Amino acid sequence: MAVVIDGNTGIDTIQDGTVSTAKIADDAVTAGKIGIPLGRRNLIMNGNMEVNQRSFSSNTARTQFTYAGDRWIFAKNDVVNYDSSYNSFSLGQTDIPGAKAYHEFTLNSAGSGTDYVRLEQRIEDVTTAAGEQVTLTFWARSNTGSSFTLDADGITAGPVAIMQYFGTGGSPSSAVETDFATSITLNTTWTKYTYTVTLPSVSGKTIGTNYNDHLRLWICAMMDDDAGKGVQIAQVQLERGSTASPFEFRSYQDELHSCHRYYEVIGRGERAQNGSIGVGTIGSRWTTRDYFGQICYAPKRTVPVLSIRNGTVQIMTDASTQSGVTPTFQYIGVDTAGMRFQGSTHTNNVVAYAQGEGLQINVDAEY
Amino acid sequence: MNDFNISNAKYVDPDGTGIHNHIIADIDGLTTTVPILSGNRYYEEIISLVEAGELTIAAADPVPDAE
Repeated sequence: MAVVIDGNTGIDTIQDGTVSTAKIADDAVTAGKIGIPLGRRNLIMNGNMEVNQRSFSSNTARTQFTYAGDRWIFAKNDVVNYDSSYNSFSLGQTDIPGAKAYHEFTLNSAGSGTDYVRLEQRIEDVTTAAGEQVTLTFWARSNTGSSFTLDADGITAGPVAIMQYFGTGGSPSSAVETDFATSITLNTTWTKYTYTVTLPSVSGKTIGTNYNDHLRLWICAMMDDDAGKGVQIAQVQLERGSTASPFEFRSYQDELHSCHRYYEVIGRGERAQNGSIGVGTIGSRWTTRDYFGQICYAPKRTVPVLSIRNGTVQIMTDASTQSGVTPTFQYIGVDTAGMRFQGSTHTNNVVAYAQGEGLQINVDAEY
Repeated sequence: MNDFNISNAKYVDPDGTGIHNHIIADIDGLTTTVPILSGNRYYEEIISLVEAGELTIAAADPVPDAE
């Protein structure tokens, strides 16, 4: 006898083997009955924005890119002038459950045409979720004290969109943009936004040879007619499928380690001899320059850019201390970096090592 | 309008071989070593500025003979 469970007839027990999987309609069980999806779902890194290795706080009247909280970029095109900041939520806030920090930017002015500023994250590998549905959720609000709408005037994609960027080098395919929204209204209170789109297939496409292809997500692009508007954005999640699952909270350590592939700071707080910070172990030395091996926390996406963040590098040798030394990368391997420090001529004896009070070196492999 | 603030660019010839593998430049206030690598955002900006006549890359400092 066939039994149809249609909500009109009470059923106490369904015995084993009486209903095969094939007999359960696809939409018979809703997401709310399944429970919390398992696994690492969020394609965004630092979606809760708590990792901020650059210690970014704010910029005023900025006209260039700004690398802010880890993996987040205030990206612009052509002539813009904007303020940006990174802010922590107050302890115990209840507007956005579990949110740690948010990014904020205000457009002061922009040229006409395609000039814009927006918050971006670039997700490694353009083939990610290609041909699949993806669902984006984030929280945002106006910072002007009144609501406003952002739209797609003058640009080819909406204010919330994603680009499949096939990179540079060789003959890569042109980028493909997909709108999450052609307009978005920002309220004065924190509001959760949810969008689902299907990313185009990458079949037949060509990836460039410079290993810089990626998915480029942007949120709240603002153009010339948006001057004076400002937004705050928090807790971003991009996941496969058409269901917006609860925000995936990761431990700070997990998130930090993920971010290290794109940026890290060497010499963070380690104290060595004489209160200084040793940044490496000498690999070889010549009378004019010294080579040090440095283990990075994580393999990098590409050969990184290196800069001294704080402190002055010194090379200590048997007889002299050289300051004002500039480090350069000689080699970056899977998880090591060979750094070279160019100093003045010194004798080649005993041990040399690099040090610097409060020394920190940025290792940057971001897009 | 440039994507980054870049000035004082200079090639680096680490071993005095005449082979440049880095450029040192002031980028957003930090002395930064930039690999000569297509796809690197700073390197591509430097080349763009050079082609626009807005930046010159100085020759590498001579490296004394090594032992």
